[in-house]
Amino acid sequence: MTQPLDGDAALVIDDLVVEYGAPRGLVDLALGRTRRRVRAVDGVSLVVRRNETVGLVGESGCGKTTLGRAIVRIVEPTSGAISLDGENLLTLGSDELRAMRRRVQMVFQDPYSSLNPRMSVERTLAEVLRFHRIRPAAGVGDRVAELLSLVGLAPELAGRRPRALSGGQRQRVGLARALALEPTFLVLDEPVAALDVSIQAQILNLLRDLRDRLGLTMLFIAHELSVIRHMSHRVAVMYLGRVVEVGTAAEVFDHPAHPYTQGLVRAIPRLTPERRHRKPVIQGEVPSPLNIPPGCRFHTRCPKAQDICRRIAPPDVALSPSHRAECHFPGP
Amino acid sequence: MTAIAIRDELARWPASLKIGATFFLLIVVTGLFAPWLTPYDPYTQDLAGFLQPPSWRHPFGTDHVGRDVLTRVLHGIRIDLQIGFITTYVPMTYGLLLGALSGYLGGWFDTLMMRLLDVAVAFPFLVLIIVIIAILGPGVHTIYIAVFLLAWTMYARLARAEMLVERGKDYVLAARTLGYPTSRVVFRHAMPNVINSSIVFSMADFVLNILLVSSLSFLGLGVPPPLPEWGAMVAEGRDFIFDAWWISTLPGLAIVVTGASLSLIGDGLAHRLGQRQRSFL
Repeated sequence: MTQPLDGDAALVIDDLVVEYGAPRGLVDLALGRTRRRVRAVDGVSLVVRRNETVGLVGESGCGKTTLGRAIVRIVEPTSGAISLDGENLLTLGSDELRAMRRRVQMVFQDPYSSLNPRMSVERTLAEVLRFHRIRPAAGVGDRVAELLSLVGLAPELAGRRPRALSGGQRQRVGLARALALEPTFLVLDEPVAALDVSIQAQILNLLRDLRDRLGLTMLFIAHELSVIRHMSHRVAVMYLGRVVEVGTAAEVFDHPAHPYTQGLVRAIPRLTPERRHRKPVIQGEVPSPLNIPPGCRFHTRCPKAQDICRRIAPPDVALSPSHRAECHFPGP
Repeated sequence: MTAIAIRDELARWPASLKIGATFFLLIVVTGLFAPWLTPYDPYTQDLAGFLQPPSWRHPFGTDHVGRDVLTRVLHGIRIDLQIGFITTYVPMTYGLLLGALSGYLGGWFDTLMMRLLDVAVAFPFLVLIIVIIAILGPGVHTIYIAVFLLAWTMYARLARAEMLVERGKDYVLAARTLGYPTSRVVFRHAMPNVINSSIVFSMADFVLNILLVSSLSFLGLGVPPPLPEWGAMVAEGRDFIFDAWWISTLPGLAIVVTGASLSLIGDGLAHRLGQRQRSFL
């Protein structure tokens, strides 16, 4: 893909930590145990430049959804900073927060639950426009029609409730709802994971088209590598709450440096027979985020693991100006 | 709603809902027209014609002071339905609000609400109502106050439990992401998806509340004597039950018919609303 690699930073995430308190049971209380904490995001730093799409990939439970939700402030980070256009999103007062919502929007994973089952498409969109006074009252109807055509929905669907729409149509409505605020930054949390493959391609193409037409900056979260590659200029790979590798799409997919990324890339199904069964893909399960392994958090599953990996957390190694990996032994 | 939408909606109603709603509607209409349906007054005594068995002149007979039982049963519809409605839907309103907020907000508010609820649930109702009667004297208002203090708990629990599920759903997160204030997220977005079970339960609650007031009247804790409340009428006829069965039995039958129609409605609504998440309000 062509890549707007340089250009100023739109979104800067700095050493972000998000912890969830695991509920404390009666037994824990009786034994005087403190609240156990899950570190869903454990010190993530990431930059998204203007007009750029960064793909965020990782297994389920690696913290990618939490990271996305922290950006739109529906999950409160424990520490760290997130800034958009130089403004720290985490210290905003409620009025500034409302203004920020207009610039940062989110598209949700499950189109079957992301729309209010009792509100028609038109009401869903009109509510956004009215509440934020995006258009004068008289212009709301026209803008709703505009938004529908923007996401490729027939105007006849405006009166329908979500249950009368297909998954792809619902996801288009979810996208229109986010775009109603005319945001500059869009967080897409697995926007196609719940859709049929044929519909996935349509939605992805729509997203690419809208990105170019509206000049959107995107954080695109997915677990499927082919989808990420189709959408992203740069790719960040997450494992157990940390970004373990980041680089341009070509760097990460063609020359993965972290053993975890290598495993992921190798797991992409291929048509050419001689490339099958080259090396085993990653074995085992992701360790529980309640109990993160010491040293390198990937050492329990890493084919390259040495003694040092079990003791010392790996450094952040620069492999090129745009390509970094957190590993003691990066490279092929 | 257009005529077609109404027809479509009716086509989806299960038989129990249709039968229950028809009966209930009949009862309500009868109550509305009660003064014009019989030539008698519910309070006028006719000491010459007391304890008459059912006849063409008095289809339900007369009671121990010669009042026409049918007239009193029909006027009783107004009193019992009014009491049932108020004791059900007033606590339901704030029970739902408190429960929904409690489930959505969590934290100290939730803890406080739930402890308050535990106290209300653990409180013996009869003791409470006797205390309030001791303070305010007997009457409908005493019953209202006692019920209002305790009856919200079931709705609060239902709403809270459903809200705990609802608040994690993407459409609620989306509403937050869109910058809507908490009140709008809870009451405009999540609330309509939380109330179905409470609406179904309210039908059963309606029946129970009518029975409750009737029982209280029977015990002498309810509405004061001349009022034609069904439970009070059953209690009045108790002394004559072997000689004049109609004084107690026919108001009792009115309670049964009303209760059955409401139960049928509740049953039908549970079916209807359970089919699919569909708009009801």
